[in-house]
Amino acid sequence: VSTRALRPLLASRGVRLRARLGAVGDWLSRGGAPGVNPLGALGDPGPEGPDELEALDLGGSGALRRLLLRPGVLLFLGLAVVALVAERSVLAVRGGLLSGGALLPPAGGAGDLWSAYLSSWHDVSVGTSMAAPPSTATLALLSTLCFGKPWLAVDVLLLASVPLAGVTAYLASGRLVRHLYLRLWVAATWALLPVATGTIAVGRLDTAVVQVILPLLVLAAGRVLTASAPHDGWWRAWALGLGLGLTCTLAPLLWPLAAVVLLAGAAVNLARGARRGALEAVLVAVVPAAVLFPWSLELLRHPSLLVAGSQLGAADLPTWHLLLLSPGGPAVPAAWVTVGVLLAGLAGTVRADYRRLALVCWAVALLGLSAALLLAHLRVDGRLVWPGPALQLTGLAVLVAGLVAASGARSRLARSSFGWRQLVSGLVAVTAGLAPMLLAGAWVVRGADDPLHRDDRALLPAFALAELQANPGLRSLVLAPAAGGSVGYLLSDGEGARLEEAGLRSSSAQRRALDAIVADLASPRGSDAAEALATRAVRYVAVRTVPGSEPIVAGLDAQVGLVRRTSGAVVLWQVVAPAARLSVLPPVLADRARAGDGAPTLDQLRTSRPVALTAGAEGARATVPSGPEGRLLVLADAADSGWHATLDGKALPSRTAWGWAQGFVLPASGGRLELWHTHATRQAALGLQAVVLVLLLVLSAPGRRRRRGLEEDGAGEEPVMSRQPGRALVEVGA
Amino acid sequence: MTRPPLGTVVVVAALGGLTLVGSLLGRPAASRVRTSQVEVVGATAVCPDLRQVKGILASRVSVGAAPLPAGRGGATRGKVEIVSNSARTAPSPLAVSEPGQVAVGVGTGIDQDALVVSAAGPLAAGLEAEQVTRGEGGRERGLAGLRCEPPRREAWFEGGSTVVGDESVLVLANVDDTPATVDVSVFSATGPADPRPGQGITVEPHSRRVILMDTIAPDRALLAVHVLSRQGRVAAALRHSRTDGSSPLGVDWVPQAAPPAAQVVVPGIPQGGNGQRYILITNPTTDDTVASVRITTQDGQYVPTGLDQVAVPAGTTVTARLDIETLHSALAATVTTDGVPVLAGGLVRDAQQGSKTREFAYTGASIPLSGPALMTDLVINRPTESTLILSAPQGKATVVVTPIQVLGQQGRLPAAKTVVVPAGRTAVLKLSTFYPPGTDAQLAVEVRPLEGSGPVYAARYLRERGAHGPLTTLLDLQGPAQLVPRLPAVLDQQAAD
Repeated sequence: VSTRALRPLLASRGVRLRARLGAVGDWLSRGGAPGVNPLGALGDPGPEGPDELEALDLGGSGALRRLLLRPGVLLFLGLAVVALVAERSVLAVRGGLLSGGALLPPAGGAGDLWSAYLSSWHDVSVGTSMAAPPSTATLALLSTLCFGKPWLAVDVLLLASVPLAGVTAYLASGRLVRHLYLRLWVAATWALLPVATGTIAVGRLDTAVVQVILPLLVLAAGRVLTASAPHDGWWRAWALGLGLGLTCTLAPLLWPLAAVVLLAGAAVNLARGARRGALEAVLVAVVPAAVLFPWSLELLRHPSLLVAGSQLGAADLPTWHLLLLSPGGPAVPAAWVTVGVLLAGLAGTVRADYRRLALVCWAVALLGLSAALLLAHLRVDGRLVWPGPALQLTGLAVLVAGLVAASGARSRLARSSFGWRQLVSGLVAVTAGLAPMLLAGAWVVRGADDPLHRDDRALLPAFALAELQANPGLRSLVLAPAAGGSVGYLLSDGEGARLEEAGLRSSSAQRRALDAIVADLASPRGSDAAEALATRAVRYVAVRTVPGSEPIVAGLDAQVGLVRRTSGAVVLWQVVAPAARLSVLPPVLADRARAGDGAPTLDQLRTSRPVALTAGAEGARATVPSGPEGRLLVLADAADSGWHATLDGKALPSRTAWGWAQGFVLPASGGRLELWHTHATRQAALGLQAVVLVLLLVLSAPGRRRRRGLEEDGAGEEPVMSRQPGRALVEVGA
Repeated sequence: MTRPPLGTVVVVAALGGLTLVGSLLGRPAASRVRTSQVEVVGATAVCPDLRQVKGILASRVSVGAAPLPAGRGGATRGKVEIVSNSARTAPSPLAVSEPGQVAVGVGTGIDQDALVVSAAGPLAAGLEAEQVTRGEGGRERGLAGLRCEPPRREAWFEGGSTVVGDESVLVLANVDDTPATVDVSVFSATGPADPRPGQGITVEPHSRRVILMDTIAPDRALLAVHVLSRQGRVAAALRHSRTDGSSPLGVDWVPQAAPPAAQVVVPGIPQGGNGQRYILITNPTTDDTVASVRITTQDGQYVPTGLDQVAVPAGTTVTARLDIETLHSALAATVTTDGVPVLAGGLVRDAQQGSKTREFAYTGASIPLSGPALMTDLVINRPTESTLILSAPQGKATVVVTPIQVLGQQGRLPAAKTVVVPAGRTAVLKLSTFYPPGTDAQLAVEVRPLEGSGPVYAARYLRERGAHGPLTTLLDLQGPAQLVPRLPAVLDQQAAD
């Protein structure tokens, strides 16, 4: 029977729309299942399936009151209150920007994020042509949606992640169980897991977003993997792949984890003979690579980018803490709090009827645990890695296994006579049931801040900051005592690192050179580190007076090339050697620069001074005076093949100056200088990315015929674990 | 169901296995970085005040580079250069070209200026410079010696006076290209002086300020001077001279003292002949305290009668006279308080029978020898005696004193001597004993504590029996900081927080 033939028999589109609106209105106002629907024959029960709402029906009146009494809404409000109290010291009302831990302050507007993503040159440290990670684009998009304010996007993503994660988990759990309290328990526990609260304290946007989206992704993945028949085309797989890919732009570590699970699912499907399901799973695993293009190529070359960033792993994390879903680090409660969740998860494997589902969950959980163990043993750039992302997968899987145990447990226990089984079950139920309360309590008592904090302290004294802003390209170096007794440093334009610089760093050779210079600078060994900094356009060196900064201050005071300008909360030194972003070196200095020496001496600078030219933030247009033969034009940015310069239209030959900087050979004659960094490659790559994204969007849109499928999606579907085991979708992960 | 299902067993076993594997692997050791000790590669010493008045006043500088232990220094050659502070010329190289050489008689052509000695490469690690001014007559008759120190942000001096007959001069030399602004605060026997006159003293680049302490703290005895730069760095020095109107009563530079601490050691108080010896203690805080003075003599350690409870009121300098019972021994004094940081120094007065002319010498609280130290300017002749005073207040120390080459001097170097300082004792070595009696020579020695020695404090007392009275000066040895700490640096985007 063709659709065309059936069309006249179906309700018109307008009627269907009205019915749906009515259903939404019902759902919102009555808090009950949609009433008797004249279009029930179409299988349209409204946006959400039925649940045990009657349990909370207090018989009140008023639309708002009834809306507020919806369990999902109540859960959201409850978690929101807990979150607001816990986040009391980092709420937006305090003013300033959220930063700390892995989070860089979201200064500026969405435009800054967009331009950082589109640009081929980034003024991070001494500059880098590294491609901006896709998270910059996602954050830019979200900031644009948040009225162009990145701080708002960051606040929402991070601070509202707990209630949002509760809601998504609540919605997704409807597919598994029907029992209201179980759904509330699983949602609240998921939202308050140590990973979830820890993620806020360490300011990790990636894991916060995953905490919110993972339940939905897992739900969709379950559908794709268990689809028994090729019912409604490929769009589901494309859409899931796109969703996974978009999530992975913020949290790239999710991709390999998901890929392993999906490929395992594909293998199982293949063994079952469901070739279509296997292909779809492989498709989902591969699509994120396309979404992440061109960054995914970079990822292949440097897999450490997966876990790069400001890592805050706890140094003394016992392995069994990972078992209890505790990633270590700040804002993680005592590990025993979650022991009930683990026991409930284990109990799931005891149950005979859904053991397969529980075992699949445990396979995923063990995969996550292994990954967490691996992460906990990694060290990137000398820092311990936080194993949180892998524990999210474990946490969700254990919770689902716990649901398996809890669903219908009462009736099953009631059937057997009283004995040790009831006692143990009761104990597990109580400890597991108390877990969300204990987690919430611990979080509220500890607070959600530290290292996350909100302030607007300026890095440099106002006069120094004003001077740097008036001369774009000049830099400041900020030192601070870092973990493990080393000296942490930040080379920036005076305002510190910003959100758009996340994931960007200069090349490892440049970093090693700078590491050595800063170490020499903080040591009273009389090196030429200050002059080497001057070649990097550093005018000021600052240290905030904190415990542990005394040896650094003493070392800088002993430095001949630095002179102290201010004391107090921020101790500031000026670099004696002249610093400029763009300068013309006279022949004496040019020879030393070409030879790759570290820096000129102060005596040389006194006798033959470089001529500073005005430069913009990236390129430059200036007039070069004529002078002797053998001069060198030096840009205080890392040497890169993308830099080009012309003098009166004639291209200048490129050289490396001081062993690291971009230089150009100048003729004796002067003229009009043009200097720029070419964007062609980056723009081509981004164009390709845009095409891929549009293609993915088209592929993942349900077609006209398939739209019916969307409507039927989940419609009237029984939760997997309904009361009658016989009707269960036991194929889940079979 | 009598036995648990297989799946449960497998899951529990897998969990146990993972935990076991994780525990066996252990966490990577927290990256507790070690501070490495690195060679100094650049050093500057400023001799702040060279003056030449024909027949009356002669200043000279000696510069040396301590020998490096075997295996250090590498192949690169270093250089030592000198330039007078106000000169706008390029520095001129000195003949010292490798570690273990000493040049004497430097800077005799410089008048009313500071001399900047800079070293690079392996020579920097052992750079040591010393300035001696010899006055034949007038108010500054006597010997005044001073180690040339690098420009610093902060300096402490224990000594000086501005009462009638006394003259104290503070020299502030700025050898950098940027101006320096300095605050000078003064404590004295009668409490802290009005801070206002000493605030915000500006020293222009490549210039000096010579400040009479009368203008900052008039009519004060037993000064303690704190020099702190608000901006820039200065090389500071304090000279004290005294006269009774007709005859000179002595001159010396007050050495830079170790910064205030709850326990400080003043080394190098020589054996008393005709003189008096004092320990000066200043409490620069606002809390009164009580100090005890324990002395380490050639015969042992003890607290002299009456010096176990020396009251040191806040902001005040007190003196503790070392009584007659200790006069026969050179000593070091350890000043200990109940936690209040104090500054300490020593004053040694000297006289000669039948002469009204007197002389004195200052020593300051110091640090133990950090490694090989140089004494660059030792004149061996009949009326002059240089005495090396070594104290080991805590543990036994063995010190090797090795003569080293003075450029321009011929002849074989004498053999090294080893001095064993028992724990809690002081030992002295007369440097004329390197030569047969009656020899005239110019000598430089390296003083090196051997591995395993306890902390050893060293000082040199130079005493010349002049025609009109003694000429004395004291110099504590610290040893150039050959190795300095260097912390590894790591990029930290949150460094601003």
